[in-house]
Amino acid sequence: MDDRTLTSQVLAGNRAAFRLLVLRHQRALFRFLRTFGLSPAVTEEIAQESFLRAYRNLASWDPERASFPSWLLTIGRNLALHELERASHRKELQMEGPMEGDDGFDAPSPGDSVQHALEQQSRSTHLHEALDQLPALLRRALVLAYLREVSLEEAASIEGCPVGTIKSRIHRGKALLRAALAGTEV
Amino acid sequence: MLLCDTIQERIARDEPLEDAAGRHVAACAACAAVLATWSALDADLRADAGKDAVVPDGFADRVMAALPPQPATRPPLLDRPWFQLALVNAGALAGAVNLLRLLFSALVPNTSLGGTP
Repeated sequence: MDDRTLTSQVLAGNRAAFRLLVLRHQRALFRFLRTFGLSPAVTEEIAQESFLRAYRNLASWDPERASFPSWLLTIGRNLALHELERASHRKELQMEGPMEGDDGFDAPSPGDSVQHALEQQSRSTHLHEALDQLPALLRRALVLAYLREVSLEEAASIEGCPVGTIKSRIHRGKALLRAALAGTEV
Repeated sequence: MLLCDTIQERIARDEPLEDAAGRHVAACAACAAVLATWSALDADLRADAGKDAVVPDGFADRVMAALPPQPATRPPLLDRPWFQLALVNAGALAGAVNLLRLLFSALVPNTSLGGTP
């Protein structure tokens, strides 16, 4: 059942259909919101508010203009940026790291050798550390680029920039990542 | 002769390589190493994105509990953006037509375009 069908069901009064939308898109939303460097508690608040706003404005979603994940991530981005602005005024930013709660210490898959699993874990940890060090714009561009749920054009739309700009950010972000992982300066 | 710098730049930008460039990469140790590095980074990023992000337990339940009691409904016709835009355009068109009528009547005073004689 696609997002358009689920949305129609929600508008017809079937609230349970909205739960399916939440379960389907929560992962991508959390992954994207973590790039803003907010605390886990604030990230969850924003994620929840993003879905609530989507619910309240569901009738205004136009599937011809944007996919549901693209629309949802745009809502999340605007809320996150607003929170960052408020926090900077309060000087109460809690920069615990965009990967907080996702420490990369995933359990190895069954069948993996211990050595292979440790190597994978180490690379994942280094990758996360390098991503943390990127400027926020580049970090968000990279995360959006590798999300399955959004296309490059949708990523540009979410960030409010041309496709060429998002491509440049991705390129620059990958260059910095490569240099950081190789231990050299760009 | 394809330049290594040009090819490596295209590899970095994830641009597709035509056959000649691909053959060069296969034959050139430096370009092959660059391709391997960028490919490994790309694979790591894809693998990382493919992992399930840590979503707090019970998040969907909390969202559903916070939903307003009334279901999301379609906005009334007057609140729909396309309808408002259509009204604005209709008003602008009517204004333009009246302006043209006024100008025409001023330029050609003996001609009537309607209205009371």
